[in-house]
Amino acid sequence: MRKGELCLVTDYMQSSFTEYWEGKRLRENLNLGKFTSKVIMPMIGYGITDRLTAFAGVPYIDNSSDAGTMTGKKGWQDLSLELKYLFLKKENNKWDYKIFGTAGFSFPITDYPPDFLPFSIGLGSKNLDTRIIGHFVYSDKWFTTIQTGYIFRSNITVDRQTYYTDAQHYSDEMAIPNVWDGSVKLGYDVPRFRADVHYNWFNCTSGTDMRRNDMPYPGNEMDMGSVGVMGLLWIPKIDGLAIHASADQVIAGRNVGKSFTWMAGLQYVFTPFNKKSHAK
Amino acid sequence: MFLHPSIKRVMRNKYYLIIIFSLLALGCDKSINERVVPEFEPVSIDNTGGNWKTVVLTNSSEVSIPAPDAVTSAPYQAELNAIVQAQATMSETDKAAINKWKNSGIISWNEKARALVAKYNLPPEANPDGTYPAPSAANPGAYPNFPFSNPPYASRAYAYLSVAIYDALVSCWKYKFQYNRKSPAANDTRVKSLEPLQSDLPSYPSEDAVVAQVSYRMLKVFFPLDSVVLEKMAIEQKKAKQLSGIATPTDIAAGEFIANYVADKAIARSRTDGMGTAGGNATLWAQLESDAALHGTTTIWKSLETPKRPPMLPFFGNVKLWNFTNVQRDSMRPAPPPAVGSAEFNTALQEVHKYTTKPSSETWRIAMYWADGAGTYTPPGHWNEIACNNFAKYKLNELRIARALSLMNMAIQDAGICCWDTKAYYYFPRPSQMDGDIKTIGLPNFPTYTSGHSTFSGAAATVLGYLFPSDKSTFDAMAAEASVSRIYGGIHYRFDCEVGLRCGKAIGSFSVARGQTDGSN
Repeated sequence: MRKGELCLVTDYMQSSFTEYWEGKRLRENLNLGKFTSKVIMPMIGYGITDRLTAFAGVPYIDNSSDAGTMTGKKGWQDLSLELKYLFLKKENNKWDYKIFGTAGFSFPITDYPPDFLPFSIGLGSKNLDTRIIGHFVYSDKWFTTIQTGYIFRSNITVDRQTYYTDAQHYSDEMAIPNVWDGSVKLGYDVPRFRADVHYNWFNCTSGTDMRRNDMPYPGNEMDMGSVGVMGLLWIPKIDGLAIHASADQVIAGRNVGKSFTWMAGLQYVFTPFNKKSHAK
Repeated sequence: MFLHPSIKRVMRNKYYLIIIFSLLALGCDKSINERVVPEFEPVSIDNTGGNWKTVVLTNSSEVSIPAPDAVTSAPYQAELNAIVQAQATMSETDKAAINKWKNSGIISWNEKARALVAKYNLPPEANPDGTYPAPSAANPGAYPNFPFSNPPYASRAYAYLSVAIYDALVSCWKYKFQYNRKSPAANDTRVKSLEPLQSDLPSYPSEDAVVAQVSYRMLKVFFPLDSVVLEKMAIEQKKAKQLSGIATPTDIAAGEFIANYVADKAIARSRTDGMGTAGGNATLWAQLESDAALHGTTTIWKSLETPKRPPMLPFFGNVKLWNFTNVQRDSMRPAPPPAVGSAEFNTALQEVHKYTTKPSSETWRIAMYWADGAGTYTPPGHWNEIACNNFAKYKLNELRIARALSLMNMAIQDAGICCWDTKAYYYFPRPSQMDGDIKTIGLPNFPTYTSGHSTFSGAAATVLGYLFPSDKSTFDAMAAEASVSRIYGGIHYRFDCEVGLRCGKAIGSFSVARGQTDGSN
């Protein structure tokens, strides 16, 4: 984003699965039925300088399933704060590129219980997210974005005092695995709209597997790979307003649901504060 | 490599680096703090322990142990020489084993039992055709692995383990103080004592060998797939005690002899105690449903699982009791619960509805703290952990620990038997069956009246309160909270919990009576 630009986003997401990976074994569970997660995510972004942008966002999550007797959970989850810095750029060529680095921190803002998966709205850890992003544009239209990151996640404290993973633990503390994740996008970006297809991956770097017919817990090794599409349409006549939507399907996983997620949202980019003087 | 001037500026400012590294520390250390039972040295030796009343043995002389060789004899001197040699050539593994076993052996084996219960406490997954497979003791490795160590199964495992250890140790104590042969480290200064030595506790027969051998024999019956690991553990304990100067091989052999004798008797009881038929069959389950109508239940319990799952061990109530007879069980069986649709019933149902539709973080915490559900060591296991913490607090010797665990776990299994008998008798429906809005922490698949948690906890707290009078109010408060946690979790009515707690306390008093007259006071 440019200096002084403010971006307001509100997204609505819905994610469901009927099958999940119990360890590496894909199965359904009729006592769970169809699990659905509904999320409203307001976000804000602000261009501090032409190179440095700050973001903040916090989702409200509502998890439930249509079978069985287990209770759903809902509430405000974690506040994410992020700084994105443009390190390098090359413009006005056949091939343009931008290289970004981001550092972010997130933490729970409500006292939600993390140890009631799959219904828990989050894992309750404090996270440090570091990322590098490469955005390559060909002929001012076609683009590819490649990004990868590492998320450090803190231990959490839960209500139960003893738990069994692959061994008995006499503790109310659980270790949450760190994550290596990333995505590759291929897309088309012109003044009126943008669209892409993408592949995302998310891999825990430690953790244990669910045992057969056992419940998940926050320290599981959760991995997934998903494919999806995204479209963004700038609203004509209202400068800076766009509507966007996406659809993603998890195609491979471990200790996660085989979810289908769709998202729709609005974003509005504008410059709220007066400019003293224009760039030289 | 090209570094943008802004990055160079950041790196020069050390405060950014401190922030970054402390944030990295957030996610790099995956170790967790775990509770351990503190090390302690027993404050008494109970030299008249051999006179205490036993459970499966008629008395402590039922097993015959001959007099050992004299300390001055050539065979014993050869044993001492061998230990001196072995101590001189010990490996790091040996030292680690000595360190591992220097605290109470019974507590270590109790922890092992809890871990095995947790490992096997997973309900079988349904077959594709909607039926449920059952574990088979004849083919334990086939899915579902044998056993499914649910709370009744666990209560029985803890009870048999504890009773067998107790009886064997009473016999062990009798011969210890009859023959008075001390530990090798106490008999010969050449033998180093590599762990704290109770020098006035004779070592023939070895109490560690008793505990190791009984635990191995009993636990491999209940958890056959772990036989090899259990045997290794027993061998490690016995070897550690020989290396640390506590026992000689003949001390160990005498202990093993007592252990095998007592284990044979306990296992023989387990083969005919009725557990084999506790699961029932479709004909018998249908009979339970029609009988419940005769006992006053108008809406019969139904499984809320998909596919419908048979009730869990509905005939556990017929398993052989430890402390009283079936006639007494029947006389203690509570009166029927409030009739479905009555004012009292509706009030209780509404209370469950209230706690589940708007849980506070405190009621949720309490429900989770005491849940001890699938995949855990079960409520009986939780009380075993509470008991072991108290043994450390009051520095009990192995015989007293064995007595405490035997009294408590007999009461806990009897509580399970009486509770399951009541559940089968009334076959009363769970709150979720009567109000579909009631969602839970996880609903057990068996009838509701009375609450297992409440019955187990009432019995355990009563026994522990007798054994540790200064902590009685703490145990009673824990039992009360464990009981009410089931309402918070949405899976029981208040009358399930209050009546269950009352029954549990009555059942616990039988173990108290046993303890008051077993000769230990």
